Amino acid sequence: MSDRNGFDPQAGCPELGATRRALEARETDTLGPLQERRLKAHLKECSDCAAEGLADDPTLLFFSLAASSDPEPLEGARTRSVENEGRAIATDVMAALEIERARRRVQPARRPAMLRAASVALLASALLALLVATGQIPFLAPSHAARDLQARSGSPAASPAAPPGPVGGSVGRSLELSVDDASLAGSRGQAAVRRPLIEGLENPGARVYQFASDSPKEPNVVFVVDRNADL
Amino acid sequence: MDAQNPDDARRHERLLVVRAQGGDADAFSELILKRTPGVLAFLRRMLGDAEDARDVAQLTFVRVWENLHRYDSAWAFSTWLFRIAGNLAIDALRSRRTRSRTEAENFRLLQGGGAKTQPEGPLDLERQEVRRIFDACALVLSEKQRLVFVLREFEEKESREIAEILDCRESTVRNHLFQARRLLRAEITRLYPEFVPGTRRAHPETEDRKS
Repeated sequence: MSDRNGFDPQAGCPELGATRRALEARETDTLGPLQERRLKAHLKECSDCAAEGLADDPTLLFFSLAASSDPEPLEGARTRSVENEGRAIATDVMAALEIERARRRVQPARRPAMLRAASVALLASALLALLVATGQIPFLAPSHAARDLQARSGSPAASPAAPPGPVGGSVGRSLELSVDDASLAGSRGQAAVRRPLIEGLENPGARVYQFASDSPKEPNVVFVVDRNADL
Repeated sequence: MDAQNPDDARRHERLLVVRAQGGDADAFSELILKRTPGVLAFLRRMLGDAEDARDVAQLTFVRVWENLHRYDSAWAFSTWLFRIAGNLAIDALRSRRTRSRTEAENFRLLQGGGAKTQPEGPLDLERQEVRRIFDACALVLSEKQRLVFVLREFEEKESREIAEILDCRESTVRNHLFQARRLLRAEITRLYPEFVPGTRRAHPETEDRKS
């Protein structure tokens, strides 16, 4: 039965209605920080509201772990303990950072050596390419190879260019041909051996070297060397 | 942090951050001293282990130093700090999940099946007991859900700030929180029904002991 103020002792805590509303607002994340603190404080003191709240939301059990519920320790002890802990962590962190800085100082020394090695390799490659291009390296100079083969095979030098067709013949036989328009015109009469078509080269002094294959299935190899070529 | 002059404290902290960004190790050291208590408390609640919390706290400050050049003063420093600490805590939790439970951990959970002494009120439990219950129940949460729950319920941060820390929308934060509460309610009811009024008790002998 309620008294004049409407309070019914049988109904439990007079704040129960407000507690329920606060819990609903909390559920929808619309409870302000101040109201939430008041709610937590009340639930800690009022077993009726706490039971009501816990039945609906058991996670209210964890209210005591909230930062605002942290117990107030003895002042001096807390200060010393907190400072010591903070100091220990700060010392460890600064030591870790110093180790990392020292590690990074050591590492860059490796880089100049690597750069030097890369530079040397690059220079060597460039030099090799230059030597090959200027014919200084013997194994890639066609004139020497062709002369050797010619000497072995006995075929004449400066023969006129042949009409198109594969070259049949022995292995290693090569023809050193000096090609110009006149020799091209004159060669049309020679039809005994079919030779691959070599396009007319406008520059005099261009030399064409042909290495015949030893079977029709293999390609002939033709070198055209023109020192005056402007590619 | 001086709660009486929060503006002065913030200004002073901003100065320390600027000096630390310039390479001032002393300023950074002072920053660590100021922020360690809050970061440690947060990490203890996240990880449930004081040693792990200390390790992650150290790692947090190392990361802060390494990334100070990226810190934008438009953000509150605490938001940025908690983001780093929260991410590292999540990494630690993930790493922990892959490790198998030790026998000691299992035994501890078994011991927690019922309170040894009946509390006077539903919320009148020792904090350590509550922490133990939370650690046991929070295993069902994902790392993100746990982080949001801890930041909301324990660190008492608003959803807006949590969204800034996690770099996500407020609706995402609310969703994580809703899921976390739902899962924890079910887990508390399942594992610790004696703490939930009106729940049918899983172990009848608990009631016999009371009467």
